[in-house]
Amino acid sequence: MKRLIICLLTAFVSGVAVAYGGGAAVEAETVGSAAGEVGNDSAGAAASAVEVENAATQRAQSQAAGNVAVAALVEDAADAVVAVDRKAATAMWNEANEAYHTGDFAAAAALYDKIEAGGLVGAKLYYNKAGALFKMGKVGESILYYSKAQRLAPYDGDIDHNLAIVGTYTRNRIEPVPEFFVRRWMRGLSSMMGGDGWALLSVGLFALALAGVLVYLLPLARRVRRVGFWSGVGATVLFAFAFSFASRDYYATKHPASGIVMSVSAAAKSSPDESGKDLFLLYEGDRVEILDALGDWSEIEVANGSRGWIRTGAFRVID
Amino acid sequence: MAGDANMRVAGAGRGRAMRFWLALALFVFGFSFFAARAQDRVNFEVAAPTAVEVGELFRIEFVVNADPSEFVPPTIEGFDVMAGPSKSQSQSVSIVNGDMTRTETVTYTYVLQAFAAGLHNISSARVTVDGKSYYTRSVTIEVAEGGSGSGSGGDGAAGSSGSGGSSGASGSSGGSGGSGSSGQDGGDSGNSGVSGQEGSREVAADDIFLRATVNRTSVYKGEPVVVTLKLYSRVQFNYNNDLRWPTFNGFWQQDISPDQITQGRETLDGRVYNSWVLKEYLLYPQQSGALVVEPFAMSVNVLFQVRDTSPRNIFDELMGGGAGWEQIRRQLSSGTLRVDVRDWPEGAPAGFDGAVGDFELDAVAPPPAMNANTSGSYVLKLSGTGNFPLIRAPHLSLPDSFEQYNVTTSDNTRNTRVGTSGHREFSYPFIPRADGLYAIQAPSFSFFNPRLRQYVTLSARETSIEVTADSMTVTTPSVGVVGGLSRDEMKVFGQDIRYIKRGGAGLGPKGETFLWSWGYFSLMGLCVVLFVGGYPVLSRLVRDRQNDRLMRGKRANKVALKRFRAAEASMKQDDRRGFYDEMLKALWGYMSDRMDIPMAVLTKDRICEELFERSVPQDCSDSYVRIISECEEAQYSPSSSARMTELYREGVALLTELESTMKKR
Repeated sequence: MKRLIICLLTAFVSGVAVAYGGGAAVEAETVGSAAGEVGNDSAGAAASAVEVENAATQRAQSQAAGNVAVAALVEDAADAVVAVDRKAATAMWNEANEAYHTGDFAAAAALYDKIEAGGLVGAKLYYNKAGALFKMGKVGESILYYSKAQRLAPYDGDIDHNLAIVGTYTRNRIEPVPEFFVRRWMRGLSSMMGGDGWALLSVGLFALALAGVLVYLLPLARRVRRVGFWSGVGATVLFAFAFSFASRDYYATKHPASGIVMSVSAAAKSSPDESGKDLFLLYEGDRVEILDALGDWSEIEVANGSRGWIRTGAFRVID
Repeated sequence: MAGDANMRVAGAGRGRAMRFWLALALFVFGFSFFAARAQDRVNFEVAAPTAVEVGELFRIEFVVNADPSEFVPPTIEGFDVMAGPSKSQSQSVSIVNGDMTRTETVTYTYVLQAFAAGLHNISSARVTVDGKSYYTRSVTIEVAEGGSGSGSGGDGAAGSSGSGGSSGASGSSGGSGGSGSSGQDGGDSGNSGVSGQEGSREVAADDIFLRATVNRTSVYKGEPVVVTLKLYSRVQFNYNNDLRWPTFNGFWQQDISPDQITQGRETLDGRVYNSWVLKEYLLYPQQSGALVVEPFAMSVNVLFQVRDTSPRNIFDELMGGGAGWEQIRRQLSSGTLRVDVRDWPEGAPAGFDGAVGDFELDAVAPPPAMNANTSGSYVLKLSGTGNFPLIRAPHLSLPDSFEQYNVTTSDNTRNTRVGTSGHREFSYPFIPRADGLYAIQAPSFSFFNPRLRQYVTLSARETSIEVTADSMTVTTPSVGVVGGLSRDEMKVFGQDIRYIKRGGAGLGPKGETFLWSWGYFSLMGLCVVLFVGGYPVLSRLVRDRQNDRLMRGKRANKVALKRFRAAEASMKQDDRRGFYDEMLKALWGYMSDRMDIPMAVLTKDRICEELFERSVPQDCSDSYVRIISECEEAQYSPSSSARMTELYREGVALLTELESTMKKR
C-alpha cells in the first residue's frame, strides 16, 4: 500500500516535470508553425539567393562539384550549400582562429561563415564567429551568434560574459520582468547542460530507474530491494527532469521562437500593418520572443513584457 | 568716486556758493576730514594739475598739516600769478575716548594762468615748522595750445582735489578760495567751458569719449595683456553708472581696476581733458590667433547751463545765479581692440602644461626620517610672475607604498599690470605605509618664458626618506599590506569580450538533437531490452542461489552430525588432532550454513549476535562459544584427552537443542 502511494507520487512528480518540458513543447507547437514559417522564410530566402548564384556558377565548375573537399576550399560563396567534410572544416577552423589571432577579423568571420554554410555548426563556432563580428563592429550579428552559441552551450560562462559586454553597445536598455523564482531555478538548472547532455543523462537515468525496478522485483534480501526501490524512484524523478529539459531544448531547436533585431531600428506596431500605431522602438541587437506571425509581420515580446508587431525581415531567428 | 551717480567736474559754477557756506559751517564747527590724520608727522605737499591749456586759470595748493612759522613760495615761471598766495587755515578738535586730537591744516593757494605752451616747472616750496624745514617736490605742468579758443577755464580750479567734485567738504578751504577767485574772472571767461555749448546745445564727439587701450597688441598665449578703459571729457556731465563691459572671449580675466576712480588731466591732440580710469583688466589669452576685445559701453548725461530769464531774487543771486541746467543723454562706446596671440613655439618639454611667465621653483621636502603610517607632505613653492591662476600642480610620483592624497593649493598672488605675481604652493600630502628607504624623484616644472622666447624646465632636488616601521602595528614584512589599512579595490581598466575558443571545433550537423534521434531510441530500447530480457534470467539465478542457501540451512544439522560422527571415529582412533579438527568444522560449519554467513567472516561475537537475534537463550550461545574455544585450545595442547568425550557429548547435545530452538520460530 505504502509502495503504491510512493509510486503514484513519483509518477505525479515525473509527470509534472515532463509537463514542464512538454508544456513548452505545446506552447512552441502553437506558435511553432508561425515561428517555423519565419525561420523558413529567412532561411528560404537565403537558400534561394544562394541557389541562384549557385546555378550561375554551377555550369562553370560542374566538374569540381563532385569533389567535396576541393569545392570547400574554393573561394566561392556558392559552394556553401555543398556539404563540407569534417576534415576540411577543421582545417578552416584552425585557419580562421589564426586569422582572428592576427587581427584579421573579417577573414576569420568569412571562414567561420563558410564552415557554418557547409552545414557544420557548434557552440564554439558560433562563439568565435560572434567574437569576430563584434570586433568588426557588427553588434547585432554578434549578439545573434552569441545567442546561438548560448542555446547550444547554456553552461558556458564566457558566452554570458561576452553577451553582457556586447549588450552594452546596443541602444535600448531593457529591464527584464522579474521571473517567478521556481521558473528561475528551473532555468538555472536546465542551463547546466546542453540539450544533448540532458538527453544523454535522461538515458542514463532511465537505465538506472529500470535497474532499480529490477532490483526491487528480484527476490533479493529485503534491504537490497529497499535500496532498489528508492533508487528507482529517485532515478525516475531525475529522469523526468532531464527528459523535460531535453525536450524543451528539442522543441526550441525545431521551432526557434527567439530572434535578434537586425535592422538599425524597427518600430513595433499595435497591429500587423503599416497603419498600426507605433508602440515602441527596437534597435539592432535587441532580443525578441516570437509569438505569432501574420504575413510579413511577426508578433514579438520583449523581455520587459512589451508586445508589438514588427516586420519579419527586421530580425533574425536564433536557430 | 562718491558713490552716487553724480560725478561732477570740479570747480563747476553750480553750487559753488553753497559749497562756500557748507565749508564755512564745517570750519565753524571745527570738523574736518583731516581730523583723523596723525598730528605728529608734518606733511608738506603740493597739489597741481598735470596739464592745462594756454589761457586757462588754474589753482595750485601747498598744504601743510601744521602751522608753519615761515612759508617760502616757489619760483613760478611760465605762468602769470593771478592771485595768491592766499593762506587759509582750518582746525579741528576731536575727542575720542577722552583723548583730544587737534588737527590743523594750512593751505597756500595760487591762482595761475598759463600764457605759453610747453612744459613749465614750478620749483619746490619750503615751510618751516618748529625750526625744521620741509620741502615739496617740484612739479612740471604741461601747457597745451588752447583748442578753438574755448578755454575750459574754471574747470581746472579744483582739479587737484582728489576725487573731483566730491562734496564740498574735502575742498573746504580751497573751495572757498577758489570760488572767490574764479568768481571774479568767471564773469565772462570762467564759464567759457560751458558757454561754448550754450548756444548750440550739441556735444562734439571729441568732447567726451571712452577709450580702451591695450598695453601690447602682440603676445604669446598665456602672456598677460592689460586693457585700460578711460573716460575723457571736456564737458560737465552726470555719470549714470551703467558701464557694460564685454565678455573677453578667449581670455582669462582678472579685474585690476583701482579701488577709487581718480581724476587726472591729460593732453590729447593739443587739448586738455579730464580723464578717469574706469576699469582695468589683466587678460590672459587662452587661445592663439587674432582675439578681439569687444567695446565697452556706457551712457552719460552731458550738462548744459541755460540762463533763466525770470527775475531773480536775492537768494538766487547768492546761491550762484539763476542759471538752470539741461541734460542730454549720450551713449559712449570704446572701440574694438585686437590682440594678436601667438602660439608657443615648437619643442615644448614633456612636463609643459601651459605655464607662461618667469618662475622659480622651491621644494620643501618632508623630513628625511619618519614613521610608517604618519602623515607627511611634500611642498612645492612656485614664485615669480606669470599666469598663476592657470597653473596646475606638477606631477609628483611617490613610491608605491605611499598613500597619496589630493594636492592642496594655496595662493599668495597679486594681480598687477605686469601680470600675476607672488607665489603658489602645492602641498602633496602622503602617508607611507611600509618601512624602508625611499628615493623621491624630483618633480620638475616647465614653463614658457615669453621674454626669452624659450622654454625653461626647473627641477627640485631629489630627496630620500627613510621610513621606520610603525611601532603601533604588528610589523608585516611585505610591502604595502598593513592590517587592512591600505588595501584597495582591484582596479578594472576596461572590458572586452573574452578570447575565442581554441582546440577542437566540436562541430556537428545543424539542428540535430540527440533526443528522438536513432541513437537515443536505440539506447532507450537497449535499456528496455536489457530489462525485459534480464529480469527472468536474473530472477532465476537469484532464486537458484536462494534455494541453494535454503538447502544448505536445512542440511546444516545433517552435515554437522556427519562431522560429529567423523570426530567420534577420530576419538576412537585416539587421533586427537583429527577429533578437534572435525569438531571445529562441525561447530563453525553449522553456524555458517544455518545463518548463511561465509566462513571467512564468521567470528564468535558474530555467532553470539546472530543467535541472540534468533532468540536463542544466552546460556546456549555462551556454551556454544565456550565449546569452540575449548576445542581451539585443546587442538594444539598435548593434555586433557579425557575432555574429548565430554566435549563431544556436549557439542551434540547443544546442537540438538539449538536446532530445536531455532526450528520453533
